[in-house]
Amino acid sequence: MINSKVRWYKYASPAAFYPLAVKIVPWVGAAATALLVFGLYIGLIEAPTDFQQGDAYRVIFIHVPAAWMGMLLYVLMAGYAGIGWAFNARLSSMMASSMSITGAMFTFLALVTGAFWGRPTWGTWWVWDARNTSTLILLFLYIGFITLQSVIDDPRRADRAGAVLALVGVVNVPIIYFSVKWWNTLHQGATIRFVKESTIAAPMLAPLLIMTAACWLYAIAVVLARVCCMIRERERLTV
Amino acid sequence: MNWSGVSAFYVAVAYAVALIAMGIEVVTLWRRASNRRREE
Repeated sequence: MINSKVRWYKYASPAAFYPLAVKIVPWVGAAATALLVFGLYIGLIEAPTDFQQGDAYRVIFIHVPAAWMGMLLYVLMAGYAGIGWAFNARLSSMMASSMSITGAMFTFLALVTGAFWGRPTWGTWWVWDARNTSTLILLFLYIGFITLQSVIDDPRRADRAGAVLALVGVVNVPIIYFSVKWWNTLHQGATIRFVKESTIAAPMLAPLLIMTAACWLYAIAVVLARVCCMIRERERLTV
Repeated sequence: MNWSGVSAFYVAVAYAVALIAMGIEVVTLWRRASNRRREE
């Protein structure tokens, strides 16, 4: 019975994980591209115009998935960095390093697209409210993690130093999520809820979920592709 | 759908920034992988 099960833990080895990742990346990348095109079509053309915000609200179809990805990738990055630190698992540390760049990119996108949504709806590009400020801190944490890893020559020492920063900074993620509840912010509260009924209309929710899935698949593809590069560079594999 | 010029501008720039950022990440990765293969 035990022998029939796939021994997943063998993929903790970079040498065993590499061929699997190389096979997965093109398929996930193709699926991400297809979903992105479909999501953009549904979001920009098929979704109805909002009665208050007009068409400017369509920025949410990239802004919200980017913000979610920024937070989720940070939690995953901290988790992988912590596992890499605690168990001396090289692949986990590489996954954390790989996620940091994509996470920073998504957080940057959340801030920029938020500004392009805020200008026509709030009348300003930026306000120092709790949600905006804590998301900006998240971007600084990502930049700190990337910088810390790049200035330490020994990859193993860089991984350990990055893990400490990632684990300390993870406290910022719940602050971002609950900031709109804890403080009186200009940023609107959550419209998509898991325990209560969402306050967003179904024709607007559908493209949002499609774009979120596209961003997830995109992140998986680029993170795995970057890990493949890192494995070749660090492990000197000639696959 | 009746797009106003102002809304179209903000939405177009937001999506352009997003697609360019993703494109830069993919191209950078592609070049990194290509360089690594060439060195090997």
